[in-house]
Amino acid sequence: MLQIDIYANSNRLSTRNPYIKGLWAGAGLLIAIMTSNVYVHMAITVLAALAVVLMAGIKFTAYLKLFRIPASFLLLSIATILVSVSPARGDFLVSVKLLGFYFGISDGSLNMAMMLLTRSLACLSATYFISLTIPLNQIILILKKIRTPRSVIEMTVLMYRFISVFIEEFSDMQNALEMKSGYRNFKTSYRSVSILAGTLFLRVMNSYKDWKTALEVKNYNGNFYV
Amino acid sequence: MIKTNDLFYEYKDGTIALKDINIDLNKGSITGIIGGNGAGKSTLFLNLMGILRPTAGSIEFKNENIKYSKSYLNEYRQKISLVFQDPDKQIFYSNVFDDVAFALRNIGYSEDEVKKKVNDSLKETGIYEIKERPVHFLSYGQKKRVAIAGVIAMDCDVILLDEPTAGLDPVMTHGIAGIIRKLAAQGKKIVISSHDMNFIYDICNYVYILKKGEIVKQGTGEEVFLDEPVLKECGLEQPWLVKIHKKLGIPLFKKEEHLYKYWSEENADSSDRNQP
Repeated sequence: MLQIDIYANSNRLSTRNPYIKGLWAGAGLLIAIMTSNVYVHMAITVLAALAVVLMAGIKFTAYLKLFRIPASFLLLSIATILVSVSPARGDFLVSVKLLGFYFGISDGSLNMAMMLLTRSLACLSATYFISLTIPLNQIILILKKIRTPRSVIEMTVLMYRFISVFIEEFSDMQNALEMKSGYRNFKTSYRSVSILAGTLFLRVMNSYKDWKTALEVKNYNGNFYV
Repeated sequence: MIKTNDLFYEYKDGTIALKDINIDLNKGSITGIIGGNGAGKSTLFLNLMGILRPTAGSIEFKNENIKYSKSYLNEYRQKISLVFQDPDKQIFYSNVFDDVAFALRNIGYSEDEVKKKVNDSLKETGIYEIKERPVHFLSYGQKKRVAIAGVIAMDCDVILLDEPTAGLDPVMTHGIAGIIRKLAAQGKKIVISSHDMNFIYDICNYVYILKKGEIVKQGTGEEVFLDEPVLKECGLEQPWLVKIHKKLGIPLFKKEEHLYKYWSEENADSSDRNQP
């Protein structure tokens, strides 16, 4: 089971009105994208964090940990924006000369990087607010309200269900391999991963057959009602 | 209501899964089908559902052979349904309500009727309180109930249950038995396949033993389970009530409560005798 999914279904905001939660998060996202003001972005980030930690009751450390993976992407891309290359020293605030070129940070790139960093953080926070406080069954209600095409909602519903089935299969097999010392060293790990991928594929195909039979029993007619 | 006439089924690879099966669900309200692994129980169920088409022989529903046209099967599957062994392979929605409602909406009931039928069946299976929880947060036993609720909601005349108690704890098993009895009391025909001999002996009033695709014995629970050699041959065993009847010479009881009652009365007699 996904940790993030557990949070979504078991926090103090889980059962609250989905539309209000969605409205807040949506507003946060929109404002973050439309304004370029660093302070507004920061305010959204802080407000989202406060809502998740104080109102929803999710531990602050757990919340911070969720930022680890996106943060690594973020820092890498910010670094490339921050540093520019030029044949002359020009208006660089700080620079290094390397192979006849100047690598440095200019006033403009600094502002740009700062703005992008805070905007990304604000958007990320608003998105996390959605995924941490609105369980999927409520997200479906919101999608219906904003008139998302039906087939998109159908796919969302089915994917959500199947991801959890898939993860369960995966973790069972992973445990079995671990138990049989499948990950003792580099070589066995390699083999274990290939076994895992192969078996998972076969199981998915087998399950597909069983699902098809179950659909027939339930008089499936091409529509998943949502 | 449902009868098979010399049902014969051969898989594409040539293995014969069912051979001249004649079963009649009118012989009992709760019919048990037992047999070792690979005896053909699941294949029989898929044939009864019209998912697999018999190689020879036929299935009779209300004195008429079933047809394999889409429209007939659609009608037919509103009257008869199947609960699979693995609940995870028949639950499509992570929302309990939507999943139980799935077949009803496929049939085309109005949303008000769907709501009523679903809520009733959720109450009947005792999972009304958890209907808001996503399916993958439920225990195996609860998922099993969701699967059964989906079939109950359709209000079928015949319900097939493939291994309804496999993997359940004793309390859950009793719960499922209770649900099955309630359904039978409403006049529905129930067919159960199981490896749990005590469960079958307790709940079924007619039993078929299947071995390598053939029916080797049939009769009431008592008749079938007294035939120890056949049971052994099929990889099965006697229920404990039958065992103590055979080994200890205690009269044969259908329910354990009857045995306890008999026992306490017996002992009351003997303690009377011991009194001066």
